[in-house]
Amino acid sequence: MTLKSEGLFHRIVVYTLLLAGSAAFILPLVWLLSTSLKGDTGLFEIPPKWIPEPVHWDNYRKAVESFPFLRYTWNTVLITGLSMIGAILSSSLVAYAFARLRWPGRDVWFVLLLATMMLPGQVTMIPLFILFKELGWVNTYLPLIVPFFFGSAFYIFLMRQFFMTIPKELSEAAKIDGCSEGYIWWRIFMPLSKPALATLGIFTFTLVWNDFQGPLIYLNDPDKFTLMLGLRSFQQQYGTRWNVMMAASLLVMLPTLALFFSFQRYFIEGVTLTGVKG
Amino acid sequence: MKKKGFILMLSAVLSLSALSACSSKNNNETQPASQGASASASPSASAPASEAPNQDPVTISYWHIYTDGPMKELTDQLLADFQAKNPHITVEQLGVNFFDYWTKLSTAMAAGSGPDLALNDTSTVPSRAKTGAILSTDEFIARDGVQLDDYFPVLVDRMTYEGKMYGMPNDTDVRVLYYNKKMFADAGLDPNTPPANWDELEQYADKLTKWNDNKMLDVIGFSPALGNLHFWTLAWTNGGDFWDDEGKPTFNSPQNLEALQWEKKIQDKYGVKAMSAFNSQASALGFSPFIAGKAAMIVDVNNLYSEIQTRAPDLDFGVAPIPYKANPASWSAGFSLELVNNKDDKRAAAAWELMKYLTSAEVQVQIHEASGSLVSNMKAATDPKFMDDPNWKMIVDQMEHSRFIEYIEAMPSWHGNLDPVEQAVLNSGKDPKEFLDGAQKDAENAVANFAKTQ
Amino acid sequence: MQARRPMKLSTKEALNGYLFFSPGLIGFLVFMGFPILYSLYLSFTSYNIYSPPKWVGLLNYKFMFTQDPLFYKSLGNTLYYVALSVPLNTVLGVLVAVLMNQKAFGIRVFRTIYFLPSVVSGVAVALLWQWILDGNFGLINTFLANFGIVGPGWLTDELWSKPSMVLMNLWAVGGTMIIYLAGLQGVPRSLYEAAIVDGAGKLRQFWNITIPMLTPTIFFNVIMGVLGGFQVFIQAYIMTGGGPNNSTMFYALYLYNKAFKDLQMGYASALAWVLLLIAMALTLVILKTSSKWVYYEGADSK
Repeated sequence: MTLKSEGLFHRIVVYTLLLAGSAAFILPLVWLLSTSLKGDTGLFEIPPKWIPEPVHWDNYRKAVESFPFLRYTWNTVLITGLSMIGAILSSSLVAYAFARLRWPGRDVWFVLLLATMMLPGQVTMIPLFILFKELGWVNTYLPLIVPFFFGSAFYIFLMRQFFMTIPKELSEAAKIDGCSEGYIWWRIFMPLSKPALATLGIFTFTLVWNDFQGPLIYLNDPDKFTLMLGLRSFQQQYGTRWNVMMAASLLVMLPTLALFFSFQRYFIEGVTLTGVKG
Repeated sequence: MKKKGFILMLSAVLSLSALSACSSKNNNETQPASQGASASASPSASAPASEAPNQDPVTISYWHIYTDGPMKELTDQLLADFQAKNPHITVEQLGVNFFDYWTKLSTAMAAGSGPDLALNDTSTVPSRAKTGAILSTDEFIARDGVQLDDYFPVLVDRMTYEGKMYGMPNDTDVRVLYYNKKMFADAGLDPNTPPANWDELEQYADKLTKWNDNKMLDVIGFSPALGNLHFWTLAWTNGGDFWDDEGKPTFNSPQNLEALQWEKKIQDKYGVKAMSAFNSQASALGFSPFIAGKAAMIVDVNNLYSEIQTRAPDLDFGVAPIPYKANPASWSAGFSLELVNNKDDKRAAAAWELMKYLTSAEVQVQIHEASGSLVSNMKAATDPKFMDDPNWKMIVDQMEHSRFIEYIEAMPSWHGNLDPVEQAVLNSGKDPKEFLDGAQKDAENAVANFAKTQ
Repeated sequence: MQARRPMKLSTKEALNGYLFFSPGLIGFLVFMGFPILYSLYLSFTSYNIYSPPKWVGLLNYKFMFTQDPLFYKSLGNTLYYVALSVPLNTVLGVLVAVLMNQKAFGIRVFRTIYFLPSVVSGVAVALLWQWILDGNFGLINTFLANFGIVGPGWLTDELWSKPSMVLMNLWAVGGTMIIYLAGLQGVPRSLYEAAIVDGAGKLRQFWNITIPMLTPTIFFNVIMGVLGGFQVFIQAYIMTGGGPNNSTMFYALYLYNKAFKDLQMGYASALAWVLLLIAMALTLVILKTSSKWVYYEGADSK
């Protein structure tokens, strides 16, 4: 076998695998789109049609009208936005302390912090519920947002790893110029860390946007509900409207997809750089 | 310059507190109402709400499980009607998905942020009454002359704790035998004489079961593993009981054991292999094998009746009491409406008005029409226009013998422990006595453990 | 370094350090330290929120280990899930990463497609898969019907409910794939070049270079996968509610039900602590062997 023919064979195998894999990964999403455009009878057709006939765009109208869609969207955006701000600020602040500052106990704290990455959320769930209940925070957004303002181990680790790659000379020079640490953090490190910040931002976004358990436990007032709680209202004991539910699911996924596509370069770069995903 | 970052954080924190201010606004709205609560409670007691248009406005919240479909539409309409009749009451409703509802409700009530009026599980009323989570409705019932005799006695009884009534029953269900009349006729059985006792049930089942050439089941005559029979229901029809008068478990009593052994005897006729193949097909159906013509007889709740009417309106079937050995019995579970103890008399009084409205005969008729459920108000459930249907009449008549799960403080969901026992015996051929003894031991442990926590 | 600096400067830096660290410190104490200790206390009590916690000693643990069949059932379900899902995820993750590491036209687009499912998550995905796995009209069974195969009720059949969730989890393998891809790109080219000179074929290269070089990453991922498996919640909660016959009653779901459905906060805390001990054991394994994978990561960044 010559080298050339081996190369050709190799290529055919690679592309076949690539295409087959792509189909497997993308088909569920196509199925989602297809179902969301089917009529009530087309839904239960066998064999199912991939392109619905006729196309029922009104499923999307029904989906939006089934619950206060705009209200829930705004609520979700608010919670997600504030959480992202909190996560980005606090985690990068703390990461700076670990990456660039020397202070007694730093290494011990770092190990402790890393250890909490392994801590299952279920352990803290109950005491935190009791704490927030005592604080009178149940039925507010505070339990969902405030924790993000105090850093989380994985994000801190991620930012620290990134900050470590920033040349020491840069901060040393700024220090000699008399700049404060806050200035260096905010004006030098943050602008240089866009890939890491984008990664962190997207992680937080998907986490909070898709959070179901938190809003389920803490929010009681329908005016405060999030999209995930709204989605759940389609699921019935008897007679779920799959087409409308799939339309709503797709709408709820859209922002995540949009964000991913606009930041994917940063994102994949960010993950690849740190080599860890939560 | 260091400050800039902190200012940003500070502003973020400030916007957070703005948020909490926003959420406490709701409380403020209701606060003035609560201040005058004790004062206004007695005047409102003398005059029914609908005749006193000059009352202070009050906003109450009502939580339920109707998030989609006809019951959601009906609830919207009923609440609109109610608010039109009671202009001073504003109802904020929250429908939560059935699967999330119970967790959400208990969590919110424990956190002190529950609704004023809640749809809840009738069988656990005593636990909430005991902790003070819900209010007694005795005074309201007496004041407004609500006739408790209008409601199914078993429901009223279930909602009574230490002699006081806590809330009102909303709706319930009951288990009956459904049988396929056409299959009866084909098998040479009289379509108008359903089996009345265990022996007949067994004989009929044998005649109705159809095997195919592959030694697989085409039609099952009767299987206790299908539908919604449950071991305790069958044990009750054998005069069995699971708790004695002193609250001690009697899981492995001879009557209970006999019932489980009988179930096993019936089930063993099909064999594990054929049955699991049948189950696998049946589970893929997504609806009852009785509707699909795969089971000739089945014990199930009254909801199956509505389901047959929508899915298979042409099915020729009959409804009968569950065949028994010692005495007729059935099992019911249900939903109650409860006044959550939010320490606000005025809201409680308004929530009562809504409760009274929702359980009135006129409204309950509409609820039955929308959902097909067995409503708690007998006047509504036995309305002549429904009772003309002999099947419905048969269903309603079963309420006479129907029981609720006993509320055992040490083991509120004791019956949940019996399902795995039944399944182990029926599906995996385990020994009934051994597993019932195990369940008895678990129950004894639960009682002993509970004593230690008191 | 330190000797050259005036004392004042290093004190200032230490102060700055604590100032910058303070959100993390508060977060650690309030959202980690306190809950862990309080949960330990609660695990020795009977607590339903309405009345104050009542000390019951080891009763919760005794009940859990000697009398609670659902504890073992949920633990068993979780181990079953982990045992099936982690190896499949690892093998597929590595294979897809190798595929993604090929120099092929449009490879960036392929990477995006493969990675996409791992970005969307939560309720919407669970609902989508519930529909895909529907016994009658789902994508999988209608596809199987083309070959005359009658598929089972994936989520309603006790036998298939857990594998269904593993399958759904595999759809999001892009998340692990990307980490392996990062690992692959850290493997020095010189190693492969040397192997080619020695006449090693593709398979030998994969087996003798790629896999050994990836081992630390694989190891780390496996541990995180096991830990993640113990926290599987949303799929089971949304799609099956733990059924049929508790076959998808996973540990995290059982814990959640005990805490927020039955309001048995004491017992749920005991369950949480057992979970914590399992996590600690896994962490210990990582720390004991950390010299290996930390070394490679250090080498990567150079």
